[in-house]
Amino acid sequence: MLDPSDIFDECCELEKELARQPAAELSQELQAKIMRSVHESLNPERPVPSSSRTWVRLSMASIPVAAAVTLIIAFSDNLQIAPTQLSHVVAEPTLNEELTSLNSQRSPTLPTAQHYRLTLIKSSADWESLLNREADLFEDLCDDSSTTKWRQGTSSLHDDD
Amino acid sequence: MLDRRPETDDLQPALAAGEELAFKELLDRLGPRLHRAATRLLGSRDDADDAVQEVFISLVRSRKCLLTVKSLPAYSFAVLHRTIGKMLKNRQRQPGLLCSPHDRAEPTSDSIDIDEEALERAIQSLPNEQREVIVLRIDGKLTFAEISTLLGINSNTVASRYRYALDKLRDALGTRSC
Repeated sequence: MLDPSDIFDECCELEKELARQPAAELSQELQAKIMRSVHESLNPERPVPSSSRTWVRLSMASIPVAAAVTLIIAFSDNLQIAPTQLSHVVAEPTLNEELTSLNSQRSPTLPTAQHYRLTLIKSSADWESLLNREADLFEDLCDDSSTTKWRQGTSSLHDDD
Repeated sequence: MLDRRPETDDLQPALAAGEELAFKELLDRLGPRLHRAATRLLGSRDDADDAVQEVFISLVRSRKCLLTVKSLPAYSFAVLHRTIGKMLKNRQRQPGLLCSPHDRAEPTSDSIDIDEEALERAIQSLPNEQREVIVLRIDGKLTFAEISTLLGINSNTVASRYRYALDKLRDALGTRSC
């Protein structure tokens, strides 16, 4: 069996040359984009002007519990907000247990209710691309009827001041 | 033996404190290698852009624990690996892309003359599990033990995959074995 120390000690010109190949600098655009994200992530407590607050209500007729949890995690992770900012996250009792478990890791309170509905608060300018990205995730997780409702839900964006 | 200078130790306190300039410095130091690794694993520079961005967002969110992380580069590449895993699950994998001319680095050694386009083609042609190990070892500068922990496989398996990958690269590039 190959001993890892043989690799460490081995004099291998190819390995050395591969290690020496310098990686190209990131483009200025990419650096700026990443640092914008870093800045926003470091400053999440900025107050959201009410005029830019967008509420999205998505009704999902049926969704597996695991998929719903995954979706909620994905939304809160990608939007960089705590689940308590999903102010109308609602779920059937079985999902409540999953959310309670999740919630205990993140924040002390999470409202509960009787059916699946996500209300998202979002203030970033990347809203459309984020929705499109999460739509792919949602389509992977849910059946066609749920996907249809998702599409209908995203078309009903409205401002709620 | 691959160089493993502590290239980011000085940044950890500032990162943990949430200093934005420290993240910029980290981006300057690790960004290119992270991006090259992501490009090699995802086969797409656009996806690599997203992956590196996600890595830095994750680092910001977990910044408090960065103070106690033993190796920040290894941690960063572990985050990258996890991010890429999620992306590969959600997106259809694109065929491998060659590095564009502006990505091509000047050769820095005159012991072996490596055609960089040929190198990228050769890396893309490796089986996934070998490419993964090569990228984590060469780009990430992770030890076999770190790669073993990250991938959840035996370190001898890591070493074997690495050896086979090097052999394939050597054959593809037509370089002499040592």
